[in-house]
Amino acid sequence: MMTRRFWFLFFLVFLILLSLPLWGSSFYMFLVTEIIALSLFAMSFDLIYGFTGMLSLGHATFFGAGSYIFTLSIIYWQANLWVALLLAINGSAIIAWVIGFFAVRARGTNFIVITIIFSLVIFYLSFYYKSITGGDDGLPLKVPDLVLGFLSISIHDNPMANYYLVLAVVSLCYLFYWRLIVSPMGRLFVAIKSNEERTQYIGFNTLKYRLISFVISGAFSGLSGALCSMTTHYTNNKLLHWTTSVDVVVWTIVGGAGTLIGPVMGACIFTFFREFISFHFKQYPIVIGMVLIFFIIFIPQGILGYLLGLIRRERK
Amino acid sequence: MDSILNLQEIHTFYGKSHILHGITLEVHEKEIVCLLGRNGVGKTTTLKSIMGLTPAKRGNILFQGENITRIPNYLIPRLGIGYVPQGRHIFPDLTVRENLKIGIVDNKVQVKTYEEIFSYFPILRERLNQFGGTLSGGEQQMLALARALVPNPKLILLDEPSEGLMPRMVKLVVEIIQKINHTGVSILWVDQKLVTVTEVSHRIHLISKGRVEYQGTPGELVENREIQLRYLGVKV
Amino acid sequence: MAECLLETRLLTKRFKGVVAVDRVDFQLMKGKLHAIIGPNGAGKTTFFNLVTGGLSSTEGHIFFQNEEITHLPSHEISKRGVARTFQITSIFRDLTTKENIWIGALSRKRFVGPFSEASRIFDLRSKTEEIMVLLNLQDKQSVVAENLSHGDQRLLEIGIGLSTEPQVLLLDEPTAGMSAEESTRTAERIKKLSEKITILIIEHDMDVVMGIADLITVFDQGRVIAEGSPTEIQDNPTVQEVYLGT
Repeated sequence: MMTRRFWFLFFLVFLILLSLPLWGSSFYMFLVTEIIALSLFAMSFDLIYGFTGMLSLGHATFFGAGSYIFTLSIIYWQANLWVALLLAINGSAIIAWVIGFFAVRARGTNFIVITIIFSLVIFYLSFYYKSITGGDDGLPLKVPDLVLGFLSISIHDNPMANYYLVLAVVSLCYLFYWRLIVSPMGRLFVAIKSNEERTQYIGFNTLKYRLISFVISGAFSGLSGALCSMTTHYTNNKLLHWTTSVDVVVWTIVGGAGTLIGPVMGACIFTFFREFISFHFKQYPIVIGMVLIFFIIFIPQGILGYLLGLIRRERK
Repeated sequence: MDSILNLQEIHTFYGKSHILHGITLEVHEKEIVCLLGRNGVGKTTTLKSIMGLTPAKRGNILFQGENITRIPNYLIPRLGIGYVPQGRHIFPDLTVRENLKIGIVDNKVQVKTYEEIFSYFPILRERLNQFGGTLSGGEQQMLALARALVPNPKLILLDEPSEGLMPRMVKLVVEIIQKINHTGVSILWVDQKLVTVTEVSHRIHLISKGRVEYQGTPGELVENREIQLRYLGVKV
Repeated sequence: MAECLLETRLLTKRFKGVVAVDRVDFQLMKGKLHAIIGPNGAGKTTFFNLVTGGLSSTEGHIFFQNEEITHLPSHEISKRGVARTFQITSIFRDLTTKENIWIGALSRKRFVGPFSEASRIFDLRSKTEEIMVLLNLQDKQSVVAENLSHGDQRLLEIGIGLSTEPQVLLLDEPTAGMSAEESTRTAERIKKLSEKITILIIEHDMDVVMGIADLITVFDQGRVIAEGSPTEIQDNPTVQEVYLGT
């Protein structure tokens, strides 16, 4: 996959993204910022699902947790931007560790059920503690300025700075994920997905590695949630809702699991879809459902999976 | 005597694993034909291929002249073939009565009455309302046989019917099978132990590595110690 | 004095009412090609599952190189140098031949990190190369395992086991589903492997077993009923009776 054609496309896209604020309207810039932030969520889900073979239907827990930790640390502790983001990552990582501790001891359906249960509990807790979380009303947020040495850049009032910050962070995360999947640990994740029992019989404690995958995924999903709230200046517990968990699964399946970029494409498509179709058609979730069913039956490898298959056949 | 079952060069695979390398054999009407061989040679696979559970990739299976090689497997019992799988596989959460009722594979076929069943398997009369899982090994074997017998099949496939049973039970099972055969039902019987089938079978086939390597009457085989050791024992 | 690598003492496994393995005393000596045979339900595969950590024993002890491994999980036992293959092929179907073996080789590294680039790790590359050449799979190194022939998949099965640099290799019916000719070739391969590594094999194919085993243990109904050289076993009347059922 790492061919010259790929690199060319990759840099082209990156250049477009880099230059977007110069030619895009503020509406598009906002939308693309959101998509880039959500891409991180999508990639993080792909790590556990497309690479390690664990289907979680409760990933909104980490996304929402990251968003809330970010927001609440700013509101209550006046945390600066870096600290808030770091707390979001670490907090989500800890939550992922706790949930993962139980979840990875289960397989298949039981694993899914455990992720769902924790997700529901946390969602309902967010209603119970509405005074802190704002429940579905949510909490507005004043994003602190970005301080780099003696330079202070406004993020809250400067959409362009916000955009570049999100782009920079997510790009770094993408590089991290890319290194991870070509590393021995990444190859081990894939082996676990392929045949977990055999992986154990050749000497690996698969529970340990599944937990590591789960925690990394949770941590960066949290960062994604934080970046989203940073961009929208807002958080509410819809981010913890099971529909958010389903969203990321839909992006991954339609985009193509196990490819890192596939789920990003899925996030892109569905976010644009939501923006433009919902305007004309209030019942657009039905359309999303139909699209999902179509893909599961006819193109289970997703769009990117399908395209890669074509390229492979073309090579032969 | 007419042929009721005809296997012609059957090749069956489990995925890529080539288990049957061209099985050819014939069962005539009212015969008890036995298939013997060590583990892993393809005896169970042969029966499963006939029943369509692991369909044959190549070759033909003819039942009463009709080619049944690739018809959907749930239709095969309705043609008049009963199957008693290895390990019995009765339904543990259903009662004996319900297990027997499941044996009615086709509403159009004349089935055996309860009385007729009890005449072969008196023990089941007392257990009619007990759950299958509470029966002893021997009783479960009876139930599995009875279930196969319910729709009045013309041919019954047996896979190691005496496995894991006490010698007394084994004798009983063999007697019942012989009784069933005397009413005109043909039997294809798979087993590992020669001594179990010598008294009742008409012909014996020995299978090795997915192929029929020897065929003869029980009398002939009992005389031939070399062949016995080669295909059933540990001699090479 | 030959070294005993794998030993069981009074090893027992009971399921609901059934004793699958009954007080088995067993010794696998270093450098030998040892075979386990027995009729159906004799407990051979259960025995394998017990000594490789796939199943927990009810009673008894298992020792590997004099260390007690009775209650260790399968990955711990593998780390100590016991590799096993499966009767029903259990390879990494969506990985290539090379990656399959590479993963096995990776298991011997103390640290599996997210930092280096996997394909660049030299010692893993050379070990993988070595094993592929040994099993004549190097021409198919980039073929996705799912697409290999059955015989090659069975070889890959063994290759994955070998890549973990075991002291002992347990082969569960390695010639399952093979034709007579393929079985012979596989048997020769196994014999050749036994020159470098201690092998314990479960097999039903008597030609294979009698042809290559140094020592044969016969199981029946969970118990060891005989042990000896191929000739001794073939001439053993108890064994013949157990198989023929008289």
